[in-house]
Amino acid sequence: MRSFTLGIRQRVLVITLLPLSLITLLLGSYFISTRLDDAQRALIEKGQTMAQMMATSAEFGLLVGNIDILQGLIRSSIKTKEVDDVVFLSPSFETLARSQKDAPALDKNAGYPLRTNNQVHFLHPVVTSGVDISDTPDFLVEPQEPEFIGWVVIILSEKPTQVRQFEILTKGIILALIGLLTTVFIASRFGQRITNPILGLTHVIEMLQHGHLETRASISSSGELRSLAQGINRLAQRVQESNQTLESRVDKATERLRSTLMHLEKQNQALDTARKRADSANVAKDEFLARMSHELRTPLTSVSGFARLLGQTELKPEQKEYTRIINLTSSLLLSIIDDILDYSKLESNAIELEEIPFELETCMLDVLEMQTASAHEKGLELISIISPEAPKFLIGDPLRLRQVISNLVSNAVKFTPQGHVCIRIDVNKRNTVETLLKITVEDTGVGIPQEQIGNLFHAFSQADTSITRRFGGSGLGLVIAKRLTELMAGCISLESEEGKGTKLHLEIPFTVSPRKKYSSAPNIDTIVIYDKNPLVREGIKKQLTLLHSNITEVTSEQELVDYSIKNSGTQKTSSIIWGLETKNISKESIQRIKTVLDSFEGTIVILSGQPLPLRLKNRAIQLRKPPRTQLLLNALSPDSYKLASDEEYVGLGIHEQSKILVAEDNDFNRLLIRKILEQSKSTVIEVGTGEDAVQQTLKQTPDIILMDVHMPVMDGIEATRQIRLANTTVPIIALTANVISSEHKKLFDAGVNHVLLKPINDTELSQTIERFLPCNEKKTLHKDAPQGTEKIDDKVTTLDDYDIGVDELTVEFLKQLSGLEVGYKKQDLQLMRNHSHQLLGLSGLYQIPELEAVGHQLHLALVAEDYRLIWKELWQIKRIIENQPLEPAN
Amino acid sequence: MLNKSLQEQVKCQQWITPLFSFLFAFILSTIPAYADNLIVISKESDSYQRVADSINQSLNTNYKIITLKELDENRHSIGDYQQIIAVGSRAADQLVTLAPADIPLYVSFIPRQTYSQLLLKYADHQRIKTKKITAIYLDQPYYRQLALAKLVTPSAKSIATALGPHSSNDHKLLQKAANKLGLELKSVTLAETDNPIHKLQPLIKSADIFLSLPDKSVFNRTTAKWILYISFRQRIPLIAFSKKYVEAGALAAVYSTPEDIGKQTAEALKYYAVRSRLPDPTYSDFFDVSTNKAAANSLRITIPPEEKLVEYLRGLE
Repeated sequence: MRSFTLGIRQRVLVITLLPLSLITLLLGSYFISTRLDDAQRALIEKGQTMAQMMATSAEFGLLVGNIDILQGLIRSSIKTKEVDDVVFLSPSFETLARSQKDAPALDKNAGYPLRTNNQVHFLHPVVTSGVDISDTPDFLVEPQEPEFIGWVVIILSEKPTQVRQFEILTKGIILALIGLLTTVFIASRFGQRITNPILGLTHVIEMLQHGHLETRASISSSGELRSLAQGINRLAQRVQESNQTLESRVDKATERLRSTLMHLEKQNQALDTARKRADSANVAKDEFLARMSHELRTPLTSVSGFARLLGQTELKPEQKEYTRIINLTSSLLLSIIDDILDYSKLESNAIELEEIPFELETCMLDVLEMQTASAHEKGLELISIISPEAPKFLIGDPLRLRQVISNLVSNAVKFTPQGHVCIRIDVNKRNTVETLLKITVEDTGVGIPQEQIGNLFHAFSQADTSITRRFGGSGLGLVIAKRLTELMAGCISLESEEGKGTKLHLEIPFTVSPRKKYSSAPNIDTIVIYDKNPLVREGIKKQLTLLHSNITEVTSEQELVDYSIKNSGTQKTSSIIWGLETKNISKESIQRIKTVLDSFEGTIVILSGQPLPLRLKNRAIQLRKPPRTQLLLNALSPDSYKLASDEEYVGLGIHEQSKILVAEDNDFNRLLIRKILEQSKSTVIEVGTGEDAVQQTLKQTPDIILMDVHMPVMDGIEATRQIRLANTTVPIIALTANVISSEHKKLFDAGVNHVLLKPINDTELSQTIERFLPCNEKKTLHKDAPQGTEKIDDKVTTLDDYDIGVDELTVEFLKQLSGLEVGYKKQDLQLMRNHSHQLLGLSGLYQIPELEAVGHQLHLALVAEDYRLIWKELWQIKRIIENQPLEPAN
Repeated sequence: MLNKSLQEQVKCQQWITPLFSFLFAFILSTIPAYADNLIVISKESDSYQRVADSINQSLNTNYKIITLKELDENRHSIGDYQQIIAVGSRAADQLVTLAPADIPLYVSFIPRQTYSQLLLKYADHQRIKTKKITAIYLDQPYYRQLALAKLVTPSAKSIATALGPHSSNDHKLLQKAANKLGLELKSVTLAETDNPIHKLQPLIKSADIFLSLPDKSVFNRTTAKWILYISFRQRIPLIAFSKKYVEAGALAAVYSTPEDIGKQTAEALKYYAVRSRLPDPTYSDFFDVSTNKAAANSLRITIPPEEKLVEYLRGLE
């Protein structure tokens, strides 16, 4: 709140007027009060004097008792206007004479002077007085005390006094007011003489503040104010001068700046032109590279294909060697071309990462398996040690991760003559959703000299140019790996010791997929692991963490043999995992295996690089190194891990009488869900919008609702909210492709009971429905639950299972495409957005990445309302749908 | 040497003066104060003192003068004196009994009526019986007063006066004096309870002159004032009995001053010395007249000067 402040004029007036007014008021009131008192005192004195005089006058009358004389005195007295009454009384206070006969009697002891009814009563005794007539004391005339002969009472009216007092008051106030007004007038005149120049100066200062520097104060006043005015004028003049100087300088500087800017603009234009030229050159280069790679690939593919065909014909050993060399060279050339292609894509930022769920172990083992042949040929051990804490499923781009690891592993295999290549995966958990994957690829290879490590990540450079010659390769592998890692927001580092080996560290953040792997462990008490290489043992041990079995490591084959002999014939369930060399298995080893097979009654899993020249019993299973966890578990418990046969797969566990409402805007998805549900002979109510879902829920009261989240008009969240207003019990299962937990939270807040992630998995769907259906509450789940869950993890729903062919999917895509085209023709962006959304959803659901990528671009273009871009993306989509066979990734 | 003798001489002189002074004082104190006559004044008062002084002056003797109070306190042996003079009524009253009856007692400065009352009071006393007492009156004879009235207002035919209980017996004396002067006497006698103004108002109106007489029943300070007031209002000349009354507004008065009384007392003493018997009580032959010119002017009366009046009055006697 702004505080109220007085201006200088008001302040001067207050300062002057306040004391003056106070003095005026003080003096005025003092004099008025004095005068009022005087008037009152005068009345009293007058009364007393009159009473005294009347007493003297009445002496004779009272002495002789002559009433006439007293009446005469009364008559003469009451002529005075103030005298209301005169009373003469005897010594005993009896009235002798009185002007007002009817007046009430007087009281002697009333206390005089007495005030009653605007009258003042004055009492005075009448005593005799005499003259001295005696010359000597001896004359008979005795000196006598004055004799008391009566009373006189004078009654004066207060009215004249009051009139006089009123007059005094009035005149006093008038005089005070006149004095005050005069003071105000004089103070304001004198105040103005002081304040006017100050206000003038203030105005001048304000004008100066507002930039009117030509303003000057008038020098009309005198004394200090004159000096002040002169000072302000001088100051203003100086400010004006310096301002002018400054302005001229600013003008000059601006002029210079303008010319500089113009120059810069010219340079910018030149640079822009140059950049455009460079861009177009770059594009041309990329196009050239892409085309060249493509052009090179095509003949090369046919070269290598024909070389392989040639190899299958009957050839002389010499010719076979030539074809092998052709194969080798062509595949090397192909990989070099692929590298160049990738590198050029990376350089032009053409690579976009996918965000899809994938299984980490599968991804790693895929890479290792690709290298198995070449590694085992060299007798190398390929080992994966995955920390049990590592999440099973991640969301990211598995293709690119695979490419990076593959690059690193192939390099390691390439440069390692003996020993092992190991992928070690540890995690640095940030939270339940985010994780930082630490991948280490280590080998026991030649190593890299310290001074050459820095050059490794540069394009077309290897540690030694002789390496290229010796080992081949484009020298782009590490560069591509580094670029891809950085694209995934990770980092890569390398440590190496010449002659001992190399360690490559990768740190890449990933989102953890909420998917879980449902596995149940076989009941095995003891597992004995043997491998010469301790890292292999460690890897296997970590793979078996799930089993909670008693795992024993042995370090020699003899120990293993001893163990098997020792435990022969026991009831205890135990297993042996026997790791063999990847190449050149000794005869002794084979002999020992035979011994163990004969003596040991438990399961024996033999891990090797190549098939053994042995006939294995039922209890013995041979797996190729490195083994996948699932295969290892299957091998350890062959009875439990039989693949589910078609006969065993008996429909879905949904109650036959269930009434299920499916709210899904995409017709194709809706069809798929309907087909899945109809297998269990459920009644399916289909709606395409949230609004219809709400209405149908109220009308039909379904047993369960499947609610797509993204729908036109009213989305699934709002629909759920509205349904929950009327019905709080019906289970609602949301279907979304969005893995972001904030949306899940929104859904749960709205009243959803469960969230299922797309693409739709039939088993998961049916199990969830089963779980939420009120009548199925106590029923057991699917008979063969572990297998069912396995299916959930690895596969999306097979369309064929529900009589929906790829053709139908294509038809659906074409339908969306035609919708898009119609929208484009009508320039109806909303329509296009709807179809784009559906297209994107379908391509995501059935894992058609190229269509998904282009669909995403179209979506962005629609948001940006860039018609040129829309047309471009639409054209690409059309090309993909019409020209390529669309097949889901599974 | 010379200096030393001079110093001794000075020393001797220093001793001589106080020595002589002491001796003189001693002689004076040891000689008994002796006087033939004792004057006892009623109290320490100027008029009494003047009477005593006048006696002493007139006789050229040194009489012892004491106050009545001193007499009571010192218990002077009154018997030692040949004659005792009492000045004032109170002294007279005391000394009638106090003084030995054989010693003549002069009562001076006493009103005639008071003396008469004293004689009546102590009528059985030896002194009264042996007539070892005489008096010199303070007041004036009626004739002298009426004569003055006549002198002041020669046209006056009647004279009025008021008599009180003390002076009612003097009516005859008054009447005699009035007759002698050819004046008609109009008088009232006032009782103690009477309002004097009430009675005097018509009396004053009825006469040409009003004579005031010193009777406390008639005259006090208040009555004196209002008689003065009434007489002025009636334009009746007022003949007073004291100088102070004249000063207060009365037209004229004849009176004896203390000195006059003293002289008259001295005359009495001389008489006794010559005739060895006491004279009769008497008025003073010495007197003065006072007039008030302002009052005369108010009354539009022309009066002769005071000396002339004294002379006329002396001439009349």
